[in-house]
Amino acid sequence: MNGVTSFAPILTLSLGSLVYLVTGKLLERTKLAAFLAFGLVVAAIAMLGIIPDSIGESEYGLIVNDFSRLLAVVACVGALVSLVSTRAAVEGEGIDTLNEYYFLALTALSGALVMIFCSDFLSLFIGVEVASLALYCLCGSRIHRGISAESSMKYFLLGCFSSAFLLLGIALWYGATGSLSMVPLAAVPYNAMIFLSFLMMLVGLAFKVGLAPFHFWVPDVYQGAPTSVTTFMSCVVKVAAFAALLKVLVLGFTYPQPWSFGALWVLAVLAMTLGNLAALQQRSIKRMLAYSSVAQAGYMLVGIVSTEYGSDGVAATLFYLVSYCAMTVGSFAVLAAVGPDADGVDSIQGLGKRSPLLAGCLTVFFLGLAGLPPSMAGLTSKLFVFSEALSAGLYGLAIIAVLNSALACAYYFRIPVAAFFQSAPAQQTQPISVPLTTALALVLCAAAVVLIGLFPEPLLALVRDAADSLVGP
Amino acid sequence: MDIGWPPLSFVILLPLIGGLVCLGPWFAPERDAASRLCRTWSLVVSSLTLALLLAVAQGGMGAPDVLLSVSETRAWIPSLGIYWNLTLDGLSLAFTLLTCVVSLAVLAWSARPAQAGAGWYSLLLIGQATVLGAFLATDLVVFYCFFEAMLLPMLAAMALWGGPRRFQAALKFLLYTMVGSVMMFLAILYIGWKGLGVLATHGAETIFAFDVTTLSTTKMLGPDEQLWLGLAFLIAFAVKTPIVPLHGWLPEAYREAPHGTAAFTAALLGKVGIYGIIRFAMPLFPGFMLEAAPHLAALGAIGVAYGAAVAMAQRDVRSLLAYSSVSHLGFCVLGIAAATEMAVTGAVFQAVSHGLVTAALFLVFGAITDREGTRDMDSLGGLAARIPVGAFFLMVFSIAAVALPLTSSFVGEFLVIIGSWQAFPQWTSVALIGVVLGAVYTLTAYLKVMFGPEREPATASDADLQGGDVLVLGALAALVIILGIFPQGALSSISPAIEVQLAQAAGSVEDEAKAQLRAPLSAEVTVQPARLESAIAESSR
Repeated sequence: MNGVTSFAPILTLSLGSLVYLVTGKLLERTKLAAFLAFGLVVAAIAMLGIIPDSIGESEYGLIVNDFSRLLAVVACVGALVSLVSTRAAVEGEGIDTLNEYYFLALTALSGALVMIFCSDFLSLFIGVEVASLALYCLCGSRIHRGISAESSMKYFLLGCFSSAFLLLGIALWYGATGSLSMVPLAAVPYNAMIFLSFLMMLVGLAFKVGLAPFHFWVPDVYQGAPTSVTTFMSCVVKVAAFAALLKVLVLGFTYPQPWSFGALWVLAVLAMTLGNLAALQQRSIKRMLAYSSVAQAGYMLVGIVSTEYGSDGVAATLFYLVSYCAMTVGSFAVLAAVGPDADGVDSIQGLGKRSPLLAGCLTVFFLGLAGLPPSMAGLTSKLFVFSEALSAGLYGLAIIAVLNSALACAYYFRIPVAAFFQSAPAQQTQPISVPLTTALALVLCAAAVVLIGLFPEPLLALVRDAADSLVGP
Repeated sequence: MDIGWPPLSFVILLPLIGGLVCLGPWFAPERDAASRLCRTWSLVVSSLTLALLLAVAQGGMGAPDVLLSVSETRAWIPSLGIYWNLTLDGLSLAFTLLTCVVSLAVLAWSARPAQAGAGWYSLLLIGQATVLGAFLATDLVVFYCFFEAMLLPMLAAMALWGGPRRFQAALKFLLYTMVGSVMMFLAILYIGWKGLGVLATHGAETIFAFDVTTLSTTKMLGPDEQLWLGLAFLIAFAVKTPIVPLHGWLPEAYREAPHGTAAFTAALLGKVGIYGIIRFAMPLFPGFMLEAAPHLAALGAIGVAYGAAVAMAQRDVRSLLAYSSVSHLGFCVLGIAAATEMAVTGAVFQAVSHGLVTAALFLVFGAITDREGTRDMDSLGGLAARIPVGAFFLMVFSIAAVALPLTSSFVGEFLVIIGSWQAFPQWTSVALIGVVLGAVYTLTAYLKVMFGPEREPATASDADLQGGDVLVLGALAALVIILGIFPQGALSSISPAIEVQLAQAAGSVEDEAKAQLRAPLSAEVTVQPARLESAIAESSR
């Protein structure tokens, strides 16, 4: 029976979400749809706290350890915060199929949890597909807007493409080892098939994470999808895809080959540099944040490249991932609260007058992304990741990374500047009323961004345990 | 000294919390009433900070022959060896007092940007807190946090209430300082990582891997490491100061910022660069600093002369003040490069004195140019008769800027010149040319504005400086003159701290050079760079 309990949080979400399909319009009319989703996610978080760690190897393709538990909690909390903070915005966006919206969101989350918990390649692929299919639909949920349909289509096509790479990699792994398990097999020597397998899986997952040069879907999807959906996926997808990437890479690192570090080095540099250079030129905030997510994924990869000497690099990456989630969910949630079509820089001009709360939170998030005080989470995560790179002797990579983070200030600063120092266009000067739940979620996010950095030790202890459980101490 | 509560943290927290409290009224509907309340509040908070700082220093002095040193430690990220370490010694006391005095002066100054309201006081108080933090921190990471944080309130004030080209100026300021400081960030991480390894092998119970006093005793950095890390630090500090080829952000920033912000930035932010070189670069990279000294001296002296020459060509009073800052800060750089106790003490004294004088000049000129509606010196003139009080104070501070005897600048520049003459006679002579040019442009500007042919004023008001402002200027002038006539008190507090810094640097160099320079570092020993250089040369052979 070992391992059956690990299904509990996933089943809570996926079975619970069936309620939406059964009750149909009945539930939608009572306005309970959103609260049911919140309840289910809270229940899943509670389950995550209860389920015991897997003992030895699970026979059901899922593994519960500190690593998967931490990331699952982050994904669920991120999903909860994004759903709560965009509850009011969803209606403003003209998404009238609320039942389907919440059903798909919960399905995507349960798929993400499968990706996080997976212990063999089959469950990894199932998780990826469940999460992706739900998200393809979600991106198109603003049916009446062409741009939303476009983003859905683009995401679908490129997503299929990347899944094909992933699947090919998995098939090659099976061919080489005769097993789908992610356990390192000491008996199987390194050969060309394993090399190809890792290369394919790396490409497939780099698509999902959004690393340059596999990032071309990111700006279009982030911009075209309704802002509430972008908020949701910017955290949940990122966490799940990074969990999968980490699992595969750590497995790959058991075959120490210079090319793997070389390939990751190149990917990290490309992601940081291309992401930042492209973000500099954006007029649309959502596209800017999309490119910034590419660059930030590059910084996180710097931590992974440094793992050669133990688990500290993974710990730094996880710390960065957690604080990045708080910042990105917050930034998109502010945009969603400003309005359904808030996208261009002009839409937040004068936000400081229209809603000091939104503008203040936005400033905290963007300073965090830029890595500046007082949003200490950004600064401390950069500190951890870059010092890992230095201790691994990757001076060139560290220098490229800090120069990138200085360059990034140029565009991150544009947003608070527009919010506080530029006056609003004539047609949008009326104050924005922020619903209480949204305000609460945003303030919590902003507090997290400040406090994670001011008091990093507790989270640091958690991510160290998580990294140890993944890599082995 | 154990008094149960962390007094130095409170010196930083008091203005920080005071500033955050003012953020609320910034968005309040009743802006006028709120803004008046905030003015009183900010003055009270800032005075309390000054009083607290003085009390801490007084308590720390204790016995007359004991060096002032109050420090406190608190774990921040102990697993990486990062601690909240603050220290108040003679060196930081000079700069923290300057910070408190200038902040109080700018807060009390009546003229402030229109529509600024409570936000003005909030940003200034937060700025004061961050600058105080930078002057007190001895942990490199904590210092870096304050070093970055102090930018933001000034940038915000500049972008909110600055001149027409404020955004470009702010962006330039931001990019210059960011590019300068991120390399320092990396250098700090490298030092800390290395320090963690070195200290861990020593089996130390508490590991201050990032603390400068701990690190400077380990002598763990080789010559190559010192070169690269030292360069990263020096560039960051050179941008902030600014030292000459890296001063590109300065004229525009000082021209576009509101008067108070310009005064605050010129008087305090630049001093962090000077302070950082003395506090961090000298003990951490002693070998590199010795090698870099001739170049640094050259840059300092060229800065003095170049700044003065460019200032002579300016018609805008703000630009004149900006370049004169470059010129006067060149002296500090020259003094630091000479690395004798007298020269470095002179550099610190000059930095403090320049802070007081330049803040006053920015404020007085600000009041005059606001009143006349122009900043072009050629359109100003004949003001001496109409604003006698303003003319008097401008005279006092112009004389101080020229470094005539009996003013504090005289003491500072004199000490620097005497102290660095032996090491770098050629560069000291270049700097002397700058002194002469400085007298020319400062007095020409004064003559033009006060006694030049009278122009048709843009505003017909004859309002002279009023009560509160006269008090502010009077206090600053009194400080400048008292420091000029009785410098001994201040010098005797600064100089032992400088000696300690130099001794740390010298100790490391000696060890490195393995020379027979084991003289006890008593009060009589001044470090001779020539001796040390020969020691290094010997060891490298």
